[in-house]
Amino acid sequence: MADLKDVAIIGCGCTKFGENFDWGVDDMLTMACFEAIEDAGISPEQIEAGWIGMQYPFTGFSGATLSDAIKTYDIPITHTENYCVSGLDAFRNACLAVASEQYDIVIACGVEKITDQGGRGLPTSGMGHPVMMAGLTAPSAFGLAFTRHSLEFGTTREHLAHVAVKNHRNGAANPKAHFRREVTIEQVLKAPVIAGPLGLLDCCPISDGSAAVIITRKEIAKKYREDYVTLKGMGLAAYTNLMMYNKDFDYLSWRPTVKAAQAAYKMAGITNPAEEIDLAECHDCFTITEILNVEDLGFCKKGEGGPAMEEGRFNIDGKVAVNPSGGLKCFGHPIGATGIRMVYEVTKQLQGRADGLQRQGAKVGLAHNLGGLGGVVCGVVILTNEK
Amino acid sequence: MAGIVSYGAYIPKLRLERKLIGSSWGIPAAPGEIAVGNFDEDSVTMAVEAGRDCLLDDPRGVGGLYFASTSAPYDEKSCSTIVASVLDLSQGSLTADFGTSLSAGMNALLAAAGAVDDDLAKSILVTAAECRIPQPKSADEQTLGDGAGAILVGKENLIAEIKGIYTTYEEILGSWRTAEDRMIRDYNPRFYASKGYVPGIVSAIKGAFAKFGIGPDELSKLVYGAPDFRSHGQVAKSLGIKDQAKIQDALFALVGGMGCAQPLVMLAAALEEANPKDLVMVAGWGDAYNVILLEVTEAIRDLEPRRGVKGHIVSKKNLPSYAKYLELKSLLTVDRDVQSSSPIQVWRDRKAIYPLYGKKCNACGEVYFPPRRVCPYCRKYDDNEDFRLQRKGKLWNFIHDYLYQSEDPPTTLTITDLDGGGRIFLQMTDREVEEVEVGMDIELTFRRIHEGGRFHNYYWKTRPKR
Repeated sequence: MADLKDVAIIGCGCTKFGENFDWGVDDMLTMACFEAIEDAGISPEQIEAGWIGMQYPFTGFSGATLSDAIKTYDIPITHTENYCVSGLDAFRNACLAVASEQYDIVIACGVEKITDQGGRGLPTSGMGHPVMMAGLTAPSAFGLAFTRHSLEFGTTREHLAHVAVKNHRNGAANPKAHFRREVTIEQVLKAPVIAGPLGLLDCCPISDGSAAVIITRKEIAKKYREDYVTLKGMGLAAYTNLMMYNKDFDYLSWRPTVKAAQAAYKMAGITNPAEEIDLAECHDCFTITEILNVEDLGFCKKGEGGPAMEEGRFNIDGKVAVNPSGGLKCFGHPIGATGIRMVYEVTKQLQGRADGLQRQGAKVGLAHNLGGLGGVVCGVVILTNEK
Repeated sequence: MAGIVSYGAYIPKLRLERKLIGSSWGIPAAPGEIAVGNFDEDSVTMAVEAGRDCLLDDPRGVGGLYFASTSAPYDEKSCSTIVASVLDLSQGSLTADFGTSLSAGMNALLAAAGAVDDDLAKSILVTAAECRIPQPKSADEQTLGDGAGAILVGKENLIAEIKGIYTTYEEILGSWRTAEDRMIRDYNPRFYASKGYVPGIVSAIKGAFAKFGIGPDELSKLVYGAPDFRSHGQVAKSLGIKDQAKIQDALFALVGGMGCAQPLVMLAAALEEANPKDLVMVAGWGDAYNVILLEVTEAIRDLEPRRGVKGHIVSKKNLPSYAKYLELKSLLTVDRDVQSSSPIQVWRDRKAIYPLYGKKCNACGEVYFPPRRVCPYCRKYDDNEDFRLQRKGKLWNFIHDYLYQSEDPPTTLTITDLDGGGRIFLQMTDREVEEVEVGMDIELTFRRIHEGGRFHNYYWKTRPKR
């Protein structure tokens, strides 16, 4: 019986993220999946099972969305939906399947096509209770954390702006990123306000895109490439959609992140994340989210996220390179695709072939994917190139 | 015989100075201002507020709810049951809706007195509320205001006894609104004043004096509504009453004409100032002229303080422009996303949505909302009791959202720790962006949330304490 740590990634693909008006779901899935298949050096017929992450019903239903794209008819394909963690949960389930030796070679992918729905934020109508949740938007759900975090720790808008500046610096170098430009602190601070202190440049964009990875076990991976990447740790935690009603939820920390990270670190044997992890793709849907993320993931102390960001501790050459791809903020956030895109990025970083800025000498990388209106569910995956 | 047990009122916080109406249209403006219901208010929500003011949020012992309005949000669908449900009146209560006539408020008051006398109900809360839409640029636009009154009619603990009732009517077309009209039409206000309203109400008041065997001298206060400020003054003149202190202010200067709610609000204002043994006569208008004579009792001294008419009038915020008024009243339509909702879901959750019941866990004692089967704090399954949440608390967290589409952006989202237990997430209304801060005193207010599912979705919001 194999172990989760025997799981290996042998191929990965990702479309350009952005307002992909020219491409539909089928186009993007096809491009991402075939890039991954070709990267792995396998043929599509070798794929025994698939998982596809999509959040919105308007993107697609069922596993057939994947088999329609790449014509893997008749194999088992499961659609995973777990808010923004839909993609990473597809990856997680695929890992469990190959670790159990039920299958040898599987595909995990994700896709989202949001821009067909118009241009005003993420569609939230029909999500949650029609009157009790009315008015809640994604930037507000996360922005509520700023109100408490700034009261408790003195976090400022300038601290948030440093997240945007860093991630745009990283993303500007990445040919697949939604945005290809850097921003200044002043631009971030002067951008039109969206929710509370969060301005336009504190928010990730509305993007389309798709990503895919080919997953197998070490002993099979060796036949396809030497620089395969293996799974070192994994965790997922679902909390509640009603955290705003729960007096135990303090908005200083995303509880599912803490719990999912605990599980992943335990499996990986990591006790000092800031020392043992070289890079992290973490869920910066809004700049305040990344401040909480770096604290929750143990990259700095609770409350230190803002100053640490300002010091450059999470720059590409900092203590931990956080969002070397540009992150959701600059690379883009097609919901269902994002988790897989993070695995794609971490894999390529560990292989020394990052599309954009390369973290030198990276050995251990982390993908952190947070979902729901205010941190409902979280997945953490740790990958390594150490054999 | 039935009498009055308590009173309450509601005047919306927003006001529009008449000079802004005048300058927008380039026409002369009357002095003063009108009360304007916010975009999330209608006659149901205002009736709720007036009812809460009257009952001080304690519905115990109330046996019925009457709702009167010519501007009810539904043409087919009971509104009294919405108000009764929000006020948490018991299931066996008598409910009825009164509408279509500007006399509806007084009609409801008379009907309640009759029903209580006939023992149909021990007590009935009569609510009357208006948010009528006048024609832009019309005289009505500068005259009408939004507001609501509430009078609790019963037999015990009376603050005023009903001493007599007098009724009469005249048929005339003064102002009207057909089933197809959204805005009020008036053919000729001078015709209506001289041939309809003034002679009608004067003869009703004189008839009442004759029937009751009293004259103006015996009265402490004469309370009568009117279509406008000018004709209100004409009535006193025709009656030969020179002592202005005897005439109850019709609130045209600071609130505006509140249609069928006007006599109830004015009565509430009169009772605020009344002393034991005072004789107060209330006359309604609107084709049916109904007159009630009241004698104030000693119990009025023991009535608990409330915001009432005075308290609501001083708690206000002036609108910045006439254009904002047009937007709040949906007179300028802006293309917005359609929300989704389901009458079935609203019905299933009615106890949480209307009277705002959460749960109290029998195992750990925690109060939580929305109501669920399993306690989120101790995980005990199906071991809880319904818990009516208090309507006030302290603000714990908030954010101003500019993304959600609203007539009054930003949408202020709040998390409040309620007095007596429970944390709740609600939109905030009637607020200045600058005034919102963690720890501030919060009141809950019942509002219209959106029109998803093509019906009026109501729910609670927070507001800074008025």
